[in-house]
Parts: sequence; C-alpha cells; structure tokens
Amino acid sequence: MEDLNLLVELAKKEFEACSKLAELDHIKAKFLGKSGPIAEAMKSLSSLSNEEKPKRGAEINFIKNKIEELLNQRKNDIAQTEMAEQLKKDSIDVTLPGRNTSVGSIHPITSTINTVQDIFHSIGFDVADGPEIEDDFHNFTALNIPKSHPARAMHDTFYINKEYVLRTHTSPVQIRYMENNKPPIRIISPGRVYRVDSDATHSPMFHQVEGLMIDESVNFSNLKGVVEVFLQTYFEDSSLQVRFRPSYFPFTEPSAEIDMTWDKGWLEIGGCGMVHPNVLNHVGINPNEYQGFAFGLGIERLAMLKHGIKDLRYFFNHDLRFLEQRLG
Amino acid sequence: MKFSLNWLQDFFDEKLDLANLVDKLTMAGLEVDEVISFTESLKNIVVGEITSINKHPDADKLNVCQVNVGSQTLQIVCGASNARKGIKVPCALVGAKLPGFEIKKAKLRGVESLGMLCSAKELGLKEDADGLYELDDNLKPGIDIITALSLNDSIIDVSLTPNRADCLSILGIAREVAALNNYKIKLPTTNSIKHDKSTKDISVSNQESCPRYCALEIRSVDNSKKLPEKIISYLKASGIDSINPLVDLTNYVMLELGQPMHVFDLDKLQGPVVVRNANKSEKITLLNGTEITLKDELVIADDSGPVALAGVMGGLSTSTQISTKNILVEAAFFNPNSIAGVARSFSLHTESSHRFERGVDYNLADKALLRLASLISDYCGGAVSEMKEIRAKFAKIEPIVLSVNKISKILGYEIQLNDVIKSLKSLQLEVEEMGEKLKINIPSYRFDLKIEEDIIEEVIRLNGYDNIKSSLPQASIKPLPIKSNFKNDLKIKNLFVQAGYHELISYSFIDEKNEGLINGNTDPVRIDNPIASNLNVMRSHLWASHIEAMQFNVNRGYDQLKFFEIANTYKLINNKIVEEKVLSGLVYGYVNERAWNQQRRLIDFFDVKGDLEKIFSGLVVEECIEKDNFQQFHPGKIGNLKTNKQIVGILGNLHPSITQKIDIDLPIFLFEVKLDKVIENTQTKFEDNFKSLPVKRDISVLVERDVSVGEMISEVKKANIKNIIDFKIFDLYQGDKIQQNKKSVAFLILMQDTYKTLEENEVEKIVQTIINILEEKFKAELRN
Repeated sequence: MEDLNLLVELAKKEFEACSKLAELDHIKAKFLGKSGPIAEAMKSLSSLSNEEKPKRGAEINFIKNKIEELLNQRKNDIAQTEMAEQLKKDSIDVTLPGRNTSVGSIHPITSTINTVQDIFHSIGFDVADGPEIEDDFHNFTALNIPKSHPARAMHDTFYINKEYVLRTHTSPVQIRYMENNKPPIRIISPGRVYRVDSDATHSPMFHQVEGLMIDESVNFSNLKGVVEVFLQTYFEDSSLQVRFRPSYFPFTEPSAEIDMTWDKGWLEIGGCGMVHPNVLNHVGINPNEYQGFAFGLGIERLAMLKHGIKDLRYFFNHDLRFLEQRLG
Repeated sequence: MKFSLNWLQDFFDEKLDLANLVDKLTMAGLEVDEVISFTESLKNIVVGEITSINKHPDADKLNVCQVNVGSQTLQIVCGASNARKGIKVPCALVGAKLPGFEIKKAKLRGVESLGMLCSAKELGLKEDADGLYELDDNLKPGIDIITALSLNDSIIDVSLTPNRADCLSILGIAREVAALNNYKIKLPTTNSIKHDKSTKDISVSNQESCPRYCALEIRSVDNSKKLPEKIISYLKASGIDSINPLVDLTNYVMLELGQPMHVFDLDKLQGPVVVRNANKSEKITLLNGTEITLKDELVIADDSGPVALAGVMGGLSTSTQISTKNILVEAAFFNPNSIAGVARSFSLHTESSHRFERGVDYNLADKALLRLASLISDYCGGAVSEMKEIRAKFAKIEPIVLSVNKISKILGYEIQLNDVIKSLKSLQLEVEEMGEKLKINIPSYRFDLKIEEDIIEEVIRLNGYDNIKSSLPQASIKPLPIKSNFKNDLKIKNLFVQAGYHELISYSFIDEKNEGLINGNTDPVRIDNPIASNLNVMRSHLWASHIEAMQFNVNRGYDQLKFFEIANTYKLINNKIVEEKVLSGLVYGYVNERAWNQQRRLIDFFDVKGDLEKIFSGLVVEECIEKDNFQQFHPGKIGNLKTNKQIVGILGNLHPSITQKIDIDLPIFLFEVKLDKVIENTQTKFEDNFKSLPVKRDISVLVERDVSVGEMISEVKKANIKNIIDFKIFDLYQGDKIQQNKKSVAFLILMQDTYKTLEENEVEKIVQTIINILEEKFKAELRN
C-alpha cells in the first residue's frame, strides 16, 4: 500500500508539472499504461492468495481511480487555461465600426405627405389622384374659372398647348373624383403642382394637398374644425389655434385664408372655403341637396415649418447632406 | 392697390387710426401687404441752408459747411459735389436715425461735424440719387422735413382679390371702411359747370363690347398750370408719376372713383370718333412709344385709324402735351370679356386694363367724367361742352333672394336676423324682408355679388370670420379600404430605403438635350412657356434627372450613390400625351464604403439586380428584346425585368460613350419599373408544406460560354417537374481548368414532397430528368 500511495504523490507531481494536454497523455500512459506501475501491480495479483487478492485488488483500483481523478482534474484545468488564452487572443476592439451600415432615406416631402394622409385617413378621408398634365376644363373651367376670368392670370400657368396645362393646383382632382363618385365624399389628394415662378420661396414645381368633403349638411364651422384638428395633430400641438380670414377663390364661396398661431403671431398656411354651387353643378351634384368644403395646403410649407428648413430649394437639389438627415 | 392714408381720411370726419384700419381691412378680406410711413424714419431731419462753404484743410473731396437750421448754425462736413452756398437741403441733426445708421457728433479728418446733409436716397425717398436733395427755395430753414415735403402720410398697400374690383379706388376702400366702422362717407364735391355745345361726332359700332361711351369736349385749357402738391403726392402714393395736369387729373379721378378715362387732343383727331374692332393688321403707336399690330381688338378710332387701344392705353399721335389747347375726354364702360387678355397679349399691364378686366361700375362713367371736367376747368380753365353718351340697354342686376335658414345651414352657426340685416345695410345693400326670405338689391358697383353664398360671405365678413366656431362634422364611420396604391408605393419605398437607396423628388421638366441623350427620346412633350430653356420638356424617363442628382453629389465628393424616385413620366404616343407612373433608380460607384475591414468593390449589374430581386418577389431578368430602343445603355449589360412572364421594366449599364461625355469614371446603372404591373406580389394564401424534409442535390455541367444561365433555369422550371421546389445556380467557372469556349455551371436542386420524405430512387429520377433537359436543350455535359 505504501508504494502505491507514493505512486499517487508522484503522479500528482508530474501532472502538475505538465501544462499541455498532449504531454499529459504521455504522463497518463506512464502511470496508467499497459506497462505502467498500476498494470504491473494488477499483474502481480495472480501471485497472491485468494484471501489477499480482493483486498489488494481493491487497493490498486482505489489508487488507479485516484490517479485518473487527478488526471481529469488536471485536464480540466489545462483546458480552461488554454481556452482562456484562446479567448484572450481572439478578443476584438468592439468599438470599431460595423460593416456596410449605409441606409437610404425617404424624402421629407414624402414623409410629410405620409403624415398628412395618415391623419386624414384616421378621420375617414380616402386618397385620390389625377393627371399632372391636365386639360383646361378640369384645371380651370369646371372650377368656375372661365376663359376670361382674371383669376387665371394669378395662376402663372405652364402651357403644353391651348388645351393642356401643367396643373396649377390639385383642385382638378376634386372634379375628377366628383365626376365618378356620389356623395358622401371625403378625400384628400396630395401631389405635384406647377407654376411659372422661381426663387427662395417659390419653386416651379411644388406639392399641395387638397381636401374635399361633400355631404348633406357639412358646413363652414366643420371646415374650421377639420383644418384645426389636422394642424394640431400635424404639429403635435393641441394649443395651436386657427383663424379664418375672408378671401377669394373662384371655386369656393364663402372662401377663407387659413392662418395659424406660430411664433407668437399669425401665419398663413392655406386656403379653403365652401364648394361653389357652380362647381357642384359642373359635376352633376345638386347644390340644393349637397354641400361641402374644400381646402388646400402647401406640403413644402408644412415640412419647412415642422423641420425648420429655411430655403425651399433644398427639397429639389438632391444634396445628400440634406437627404441623409432623414427628416420625417 | 396702393393709396395714401391722408386721401382716405379726406372721405371721413372721424379720425382714422392706422393700426386699427390695417387690422380691420385685413380681417375683412382686404389684406394689407405693407404700410410705408415716413413719420418715424425721418425724425430730427430739418430744412438746412448752406450759408458758407470752405474746403476741408486735410481732404480734397470734403467741404466744411456752415448750415442754418433755424434756431442755430451748425458746422457740417460734407462730400457731395453739388454742395454750394445758398441751397436748401435736408439736414439730419445729431440723434436722427436714417435707414441703417444714426447721426452722431463726429470728427472727420480732424474737423468737427454736427450733422449730415442728405440725398433723396439717404432719406429713403428714391431708389438712387446723386448728390444732395436740393429743396424748394421758399422753404424756411429749421422746419421739419416731413412738413416741408408733405410726407406726413402713410402709404397703405392692399392686396385685392380679383373679385373686389369695386375696391380699386379710394371711394371703394372708403365704402369698406364705412361699413366696417359704421362711418358716413363724405363724397368729394364737384363744382357745377356750364356746358357749351359739343362738336365731335361719336359712335359705337360694337355695343356688346362697349355698352356705354360718354365723351365731352373742353376748349382753351392751359396744360402748363401747376397742380396742388396734395394731388401730386396722392398720385405718387399710388405709384403714379406726374406727367401733365390733364393726365394727372385723369389719373386722380380714376384713383378716386375707379373709372379709367382718357384725354385726346381734340385738334389732332381727324373726323368723327368711333368705337370699333380693329381691322386685321391695323397698327397703332401707343403712348409708351411702341407700335403694335392689331388683330380684332376693340379700339377707339378716327378717320386716320385707331387712336387708342380700348381699355388699355391711348395712342401717341393724339396724346396731350403741355401745349394742348382743346381736348376730348372719354369715359366708357367696356365689357370685361372684350378687354381680358388684350393687354397681356401685348405684354402690357396698365391701371386701366387692370380695372376694365376685373370690371368697372357701369353707372360710374358719366359721374366720373363730370367730376374730371370740373377739376380740369378748376385747375386748367377752359369751356366744357355738354356730354354725349351712347348707351346700350344693360341687363339689370337681379336682386338676390336669400333664405334666412340657408345662412346657418352653410355656416354651421346662427346669426341673428337683425345682425344679418344690419351688416347688409352697412354695405349699402337694400334689404327687403319677405317672411323666411330676404330680397337684396345690389348696387351696380358690387357686380361680384351674384348668388346667395356671396351674400352669406358678406354677412360673416362683416360679423367677423373670427367669430366662426369650429366643430367637427358628423359622418358615417364607413371604413376605408386597407389596400391602396398609395400604401403600396410606401411599402416599396421603404424596401428601397432598407436597401440603402435615397428617395429623390426631381422636377418633371428637364433639358431637351438630356431628354435626348440620356432618356433617348427625341419627340418629347414640350412646354409652351418654360421657366428656363433648360427646363423645357416633360421627361419620358426619370433617368436624366437622376444623372443630374448624381453629378451634383459627385461634385461634392460622393462616390457611392443609390437613388430612387416614384413619379410620372410623359410621352407622346400617336400624338397623344400619355402619363405613366414609374419607379426609377440610379446606382453609381462603389458597393461599399472605404472601411478598415473590407476591400472596396465597384458595383456591377448583379448588385443592382440583387436589390431588385429582394424588393420585387418573383422578379426575373431576361435579355432585353427591345435593345435598339435603348441606345443609351451598354448593349451587353441590359436586361428586361419580368414578373409573371410580363415585362415590367428595364435594368442596364449606362453606355460608356455617355459616361465619357458627362465626364464620369465610375459605373452607372439605371433601372425603371412600371409600378402598376408589380403591385400585387405578396402571397395571401398560406401553403402548408412543412410535413416532410427537403432533399438537396448539386449537379455541375459544362456548356458553351454563350448559353444563358437564366434560360437554363427557366427551361428546367418550365418543365414543371413534380416535387422540385427550387433550382438555382450556385457556382460559375470559366478558366484554365476547362475548355476555353466552355463554362462550368453548378446548380442546386431542392426537392420536397408534400406528404412524405422522398426516397433515393425518386430523387435520382428527378435529377436525371433535369440532366436530360440540360443535355437536350443546351448540349450540356455532366461533370463529375
């Protein structure tokens, strides 16, 4: 027994002195291999008496297990150390930038239109669309602006020919929609419009959103209500106030300019009014049965105010430094 | 409409308060754009007289002046070349605040200066002026410059809507002020005159265009007289320069009452005067010196031809001069339809055409003419003849019958009937109560009032739009459809954004040159009146705009760009304009950024194709069948985009010759997708095929180099072999290890049965079927 116990001490020493898994296997063979001291001791059992055999056998097994236990323990230790070293070696600088991070952007005009549509969608206004090269009838005549009307001069129209113009407002969409749909009507129509005008506050192409609601008793007070909740929702300011000021549009009567509170004063933000009976007559809706309102707002204006953009031209000169700000 | 506050004040006993006036007019729909007032900006500036002048000891261009400013004499250094002893000039005293700077006691090159002698420009009275403003010699030194120059006034600029032609006069504005404040108007008084016989024959040959023509003669006028300063300053406030007394008085009455009139030199008129349409190619030289050729415009003519373009401008040959002795004065009512557009067609815009196009009160002509005749005889003398008048029957302005309950129905709130009537009466409308209705008689100057709604607007205008309470409409809660084109566009836009694309919004009009070069269209939709010569056609593709956007950013150092836009395109097809919504895009330069951990690579066809495949499910790219129509692309790097066997767009590499021409070194890819054809692409029905396991097999074949891999795939797919769920290429090799004219293509076959896992022999059968197809159709050889 004494000699075997010494063996354990010896193994323990040798295991501890070893720091590599591969070497450990050699040392293992030295003690536990076929010609190692344990195997030798087992072999020598045959020379013992039948009474001594089990006792001596149990002792050898105990020692063998002990050595294996020490070996496994050492194996684990070494594996752990090696893993720790490997992990240390593999460590990276996590503050380096990620790969291919570039994302695109939605144009601020689109995101403004989206917001406007979402707000009106939530109060039951559908979206309608129409051509941008519009005929004289839909852009002017049907909107109560006959050929010699002085209001035509205010529009600075782009002409394609005598019959076709680039639409000067989104109002012709009203006409097209009413030609094909019966009241009740609740629509908005956002889109591109064109005027012969260009400076820091005017672009020859810009965007408007037109709203139209026709029913049996929709009135001027409702118009103010709808415009007010829209502006309050869009600018996320429930204390925003709206003021109507008398104005003139051939296709509405009464008509109003829409002012809203801004920077401690009033700011003009759009135009509106009750749809003129002549317009309803043009599209075959009886003005004695139905009435309603229409309004128009400038998309660029809404976007500029919300995001603090000072010059209209940024929207259309494609500067990535503007687009990458992802205003929305 | 610009006017002098003092002139408006002449119509009232009550003192008008400027701030209150501006607010009331604006809130009544007569928006005040601007108020120019000198009383603040010209404080501490007086009339000064230069009593002596000496050269500055240390500066060649400066003079040292002694200036008498009434209470004292000041030493002022001045550099103006017209400074001289004895003249009277505006003198800004220490403390005066001129536009841009304040006057302080100063030393100029060592000489003390106690003020500044001013030019008209420095006072803000003229755009530009050389030298000191030399004042009237009769002015006393020391008096306030505002008093000296009658600047104690404010100029109010009202932006009038086209319906309010009745306010294109001081009287019209005064009527509004009276209605808004319950004031009474004091009309200008006209001295009565004795009338002589008139001698000139006048006639009207087109009474529809000219329903009323009044004229009278004044003989022996003196057109060299000086009009009172007040009249000249009133005209000036309205932006009208003084010309001669006859013209000035005509303008004065036009501004005062709203009736444009014209004075002819009677001695230069040949024979009778007739109002008629011009004969084709007749010519007239207008007052401004330009000769115009007429078509059929309404003119005033004598035996020599047209002498005035009716309602727009008089002719030069019969115009009044200082020496003019005898005159014919006309006041007419021209039908707005016959005047509309005439001035514009000759690039003119006059006070007269502005008013006649919008409409003038047809009852005004005679009154205004008599007022003008009386003023002329007051200031220029002369004997006034009787007035001749040619007048057609006017359709009477019909009274408007307004249902009282319609007011609240339209407005959504109640206004007391008393208030309604009071408002209408304050506007000088006669109101008759007829039970539930009001009968309203309209004065001839309010021809804009035609229907009940017009009256309702007048009612709230006077009661204050401010008083309209807001309320939300009652409506049914019928839901809107979830799917809409707009929502679909937005979904697609977001997918492009995730793929790194920036959305552009670019002008629909571009330069015709680029429409040809980049969009490949030489027959574009043209704009008749483009805003600039490089924005003269409507684009048939968005590509040229995107190239421009690319160049803008390349010039700012970007070398990796991805753009897209959804917008309409415009084409002429069989002479008809066809407008179509497309999605279009551009990819330029590098795939990735310069980075610490990867190589940079230039974009190629398959980067862009990959983006499109990710976004549009089921997208296939095939060889372009209409290559010849797309000369702007590289003929070997262009493909048709297809879904469901339908062509939905195009993708290609911009032709190297164009890339060179626009001086770009890196690759440019362009694509276009017809959105209406790719809209419904998401799957709505669930497919349950998860019960068995899929089996994978790879095969590798050799084919000729020019065999299209896309065709190989589509041939296999077309065969509809049962249980194949995918067949795709995963490797492509051409090089040293195989024959030079061949390429090796490796495919992955993915197979799965709906109910059970496939047996080996079934798998083998499928693989063999595919190999057979490839061998037969493409002479493919199976590789080991």
